[in-house]
Amino acid sequence: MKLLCQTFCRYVAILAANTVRGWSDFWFSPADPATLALLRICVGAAMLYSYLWMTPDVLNYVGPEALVDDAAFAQLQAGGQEASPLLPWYGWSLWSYVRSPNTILVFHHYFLMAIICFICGLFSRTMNFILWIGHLSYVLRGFMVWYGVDAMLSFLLLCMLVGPTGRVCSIDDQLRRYWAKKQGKPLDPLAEPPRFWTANLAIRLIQIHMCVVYLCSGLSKLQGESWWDGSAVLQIFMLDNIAPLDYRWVAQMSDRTLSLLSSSAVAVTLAYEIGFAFLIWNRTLRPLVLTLGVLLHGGIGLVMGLGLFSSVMLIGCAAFLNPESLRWFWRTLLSSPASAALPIRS
Amino acid sequence: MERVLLTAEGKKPPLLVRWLVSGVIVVYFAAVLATVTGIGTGRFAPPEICAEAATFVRPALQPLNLDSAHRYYVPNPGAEPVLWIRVTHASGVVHWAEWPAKQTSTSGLAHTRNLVVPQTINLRDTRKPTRGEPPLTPSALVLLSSLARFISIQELRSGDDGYPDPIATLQFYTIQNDLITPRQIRAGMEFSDLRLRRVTYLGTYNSSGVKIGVSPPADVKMVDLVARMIEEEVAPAVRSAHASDLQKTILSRVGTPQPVARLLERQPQLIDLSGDELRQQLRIAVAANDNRQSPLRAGEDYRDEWKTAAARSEQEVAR
Repeated sequence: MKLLCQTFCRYVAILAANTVRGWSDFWFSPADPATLALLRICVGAAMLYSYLWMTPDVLNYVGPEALVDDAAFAQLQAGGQEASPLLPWYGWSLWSYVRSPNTILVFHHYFLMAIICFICGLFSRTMNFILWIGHLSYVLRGFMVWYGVDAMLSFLLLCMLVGPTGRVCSIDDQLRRYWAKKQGKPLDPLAEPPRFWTANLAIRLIQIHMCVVYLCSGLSKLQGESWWDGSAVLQIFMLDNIAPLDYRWVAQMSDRTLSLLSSSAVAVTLAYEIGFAFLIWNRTLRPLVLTLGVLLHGGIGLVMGLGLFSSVMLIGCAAFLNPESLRWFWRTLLSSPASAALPIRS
Repeated sequence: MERVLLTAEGKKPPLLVRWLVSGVIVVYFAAVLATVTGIGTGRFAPPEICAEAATFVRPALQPLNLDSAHRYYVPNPGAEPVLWIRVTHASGVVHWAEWPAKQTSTSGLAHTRNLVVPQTINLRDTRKPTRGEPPLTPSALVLLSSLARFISIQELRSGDDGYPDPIATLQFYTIQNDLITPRQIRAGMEFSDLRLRRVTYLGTYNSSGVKIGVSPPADVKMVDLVARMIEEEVAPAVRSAHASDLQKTILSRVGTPQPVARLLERQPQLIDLSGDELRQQLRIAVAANDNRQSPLRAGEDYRDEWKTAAARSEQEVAR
């Protein structure tokens, strides 16, 4: 009995030690910030696209006489009375303090400039903070006109705030090298890339978020009949309101062909979304999962016209790219094939 | 802090930092988990403990825009609803507005964003009885009121005297779109076909966003709505227009919603009809969803499935 207890206690101790070590390695191992730099550029580009297109309508979203005007916003924030129970809205926004239409337009253009600075990696962390606060201000003030892509951008910006996004591939890095050279301590261009635990933490946060998003989306789909009977994808083709192209030609196929194609696409979508959270961690399967993601989101962009949403989901998936692979890819692009050594890890 | 974050090149952080950060990570993802499990799906209520946890973390996550349940495009795909708005000016001039109108959106992205508005406004409060107008949630009522003020500014037009003709009332209708089936497309039906649309009256507001007047019944029929639109707005506009004016221009001036405009393009003789005769003709053209029976749909493979899905999504919206 005593031996049994000792064995059990030893097992628990080993389990606890391994869990703590595994947890520590997973979250706090130093990592190359190359992946984070890629995310910085891509998230910045997606933000620029989103807010540039928003410019003609910006007053409709955050102005004093916007879709949700000042009076309605105040009502939502205050919550309701007993007669009309209204959950209080905990949103806040810098736009609550900037009310002149001209000032709003000026600030909007400053915000666009901040996005460009972020893409270029100039004062990266400060710009990241400005972008995060600014984005939240737009989303929470607009209230009605924001959808999934904005929630994705919110958490991407929040997670990136933790890491050194501007440490490589940025003006900040070039300035750092310039100052080091000026002080007589030039940085070795052939030195190993710097590694930071904060870079790893930021990437891990994004990775876990992506797994949550896919798993929730996939499991929720299982509650819809059309995902069980295989007609969901065909139904998406029949959505005229959001389709960027005319897909009426699809209907010319026979019912049997349509059923077969739609059911296959439904199966692939469900397998991808539910399986993502488990399969993406396997290094051998990762390229396959990511390729499938590109095809799936490319399809969503083409059929549903949700190009920005698809791009942002793919940017989130890019958090799973190995920084060494990215550097190898970059070197291969810039130099001759012979000088680019293939990385061992995928 | 900056030192810990930036200068720890190539090293793990100190143990204390690791513990603190681990605590934050656990709390953060526990809050995210509470949100994703604490919001019902329409068909199933969340576990009580998750719902309570979601309410508890809401004040912390909402300001960070992290209270989304991270469930994208689920559970069933469905066509987004749109709003039709009957705008009456102080001078008595009436025109229509469609929200959002794909043709007038500044970009595809703006159209996608604007499509969220009818969805948000269409949220129903199931705790209230369903007689009369649909019982919208308190927040939907606030938003509808705000939209009335917004449309009053956007749709302001000049009167005959050249001065702005202020808007007196706005009647809101939500138009739920059913999905077209492949067989319907093969049979020549168009996406804009009125047989695929259902109408619900949301209320009448003045330009200050205050709800006014005696309301028509919530289960207003598409036939009656379109007949009224043709009789009271389109036909007088056509009669008073110059001979050189194209019908398309007149319909655009009246702000005729795209499906009605398309119907009149195909059947211009409807403009000359009125009363029972007009309704009789319209019944053939638009009544399928009013009566929930359509000979065109009989025996179709996808019909039952999609009809069930549409009914289900309707219930989900209601919930």
